[in-house]
Amino acid sequence: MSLPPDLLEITLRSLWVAGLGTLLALGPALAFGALFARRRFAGRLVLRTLLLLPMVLPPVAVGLFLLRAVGPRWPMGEWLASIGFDAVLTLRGAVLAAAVMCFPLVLLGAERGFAAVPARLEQLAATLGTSRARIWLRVTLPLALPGILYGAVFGFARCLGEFGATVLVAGIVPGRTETLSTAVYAAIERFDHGAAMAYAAVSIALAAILVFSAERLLERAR
Amino acid sequence: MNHTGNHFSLRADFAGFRLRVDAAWSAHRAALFGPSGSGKSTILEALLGLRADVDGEVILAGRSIAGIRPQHRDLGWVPQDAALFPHRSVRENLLFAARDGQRLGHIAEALQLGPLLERRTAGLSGGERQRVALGRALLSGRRFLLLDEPLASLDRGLRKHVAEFLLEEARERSLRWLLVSHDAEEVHRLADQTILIRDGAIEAVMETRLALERALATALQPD
Repeated sequence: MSLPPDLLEITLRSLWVAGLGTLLALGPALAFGALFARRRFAGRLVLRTLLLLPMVLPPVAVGLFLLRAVGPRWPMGEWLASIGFDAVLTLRGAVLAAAVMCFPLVLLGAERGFAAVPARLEQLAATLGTSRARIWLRVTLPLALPGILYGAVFGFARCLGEFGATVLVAGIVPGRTETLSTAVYAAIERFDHGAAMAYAAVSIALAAILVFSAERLLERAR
Repeated sequence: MNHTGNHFSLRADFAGFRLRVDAAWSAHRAALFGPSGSGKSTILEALLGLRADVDGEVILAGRSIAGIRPQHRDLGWVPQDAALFPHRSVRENLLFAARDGQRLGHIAEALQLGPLLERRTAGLSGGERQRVALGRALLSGRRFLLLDEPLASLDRGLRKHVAEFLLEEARERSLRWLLVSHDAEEVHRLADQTILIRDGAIEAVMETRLALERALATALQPD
């Protein structure tokens, strides 16, 4: 069995999409993770529920909403197109879909990380005259890092496996938006089971490495 | 109210515990002495500005600090649990907010921390952790320290040595402190004046020797 010639290209593109998607999710995940770990406020449960929904919704339904949101026939899509951000059938769309789908996992990791930071250490740093920004950088963030990385690695793995939302927003455009997951599907559709198996094998190997790394990270942090 | 010395007037209501304390003292080295659960650590945290659930006035070393953020109270804190930063080495903990890093060698030697400087804090014993917390507070350059049972985890020989070093630092650097303890020996060594506290209320403020005698006489001496 020979390997598909585009295996490396598709693998690299998938890693690129997953990396950018995770990075895109990371900023808001840190903000909301810190908020949920530290504050009790009205509407907290509703907000959490909304933000965690992509984890349990059918990915294709999320893709449909995303398409509605960024598609050219809709106001936001029109505005995005006017500033040169065309998400439909592009790699940007794949990154966006990946970011939305991995966001809940990155958020849960960050929240777990921030919840594990003892408030006493931040208080002590404050009594030593450390500003809030420096406490955040020198105490909070480093102590929350294992949880944040755990969530980010799982989020990255989720991005790599993303199919439903990606296929609706970015489509399966050979040489442009095809990722490992969508390549498996495309190969099956053209009855190329050998190529499908190769793409799937790489996906499984990457997923196994990532989950193992995340668990190892957590184990070492304990 | 003593505007040249120290004074706190604090009140708080917790489930099953009411704090109503008012005390003024003049000594540079004082102690808050009473049984466990009498509210000592809560008072210390309130003085540091860490308790939003405690109201009141605080004047330390003649300076009113109620309402000021913990960053700007200029108080050094040695909590009972040491609260060391686990992601940093002993050296990094000591230097976390050091105003004069050149004193590191001297402080580390006096507190017998030299061989531990490059170690992570996770494997330190209780006594070692407490000495690192003390060193960190001393290196921070704060002139008013709030010490929560600072010698409790040290073995007998080290207690005496560390207490002597603290007193030497106090003399040389005009340090003041308020010590929280339920250990009469620790209070006797480190405080000239003592505030007796019981069940969330102040019983008396007096010279340490008299305070300890009174505490013994009234069976205030805790377990």
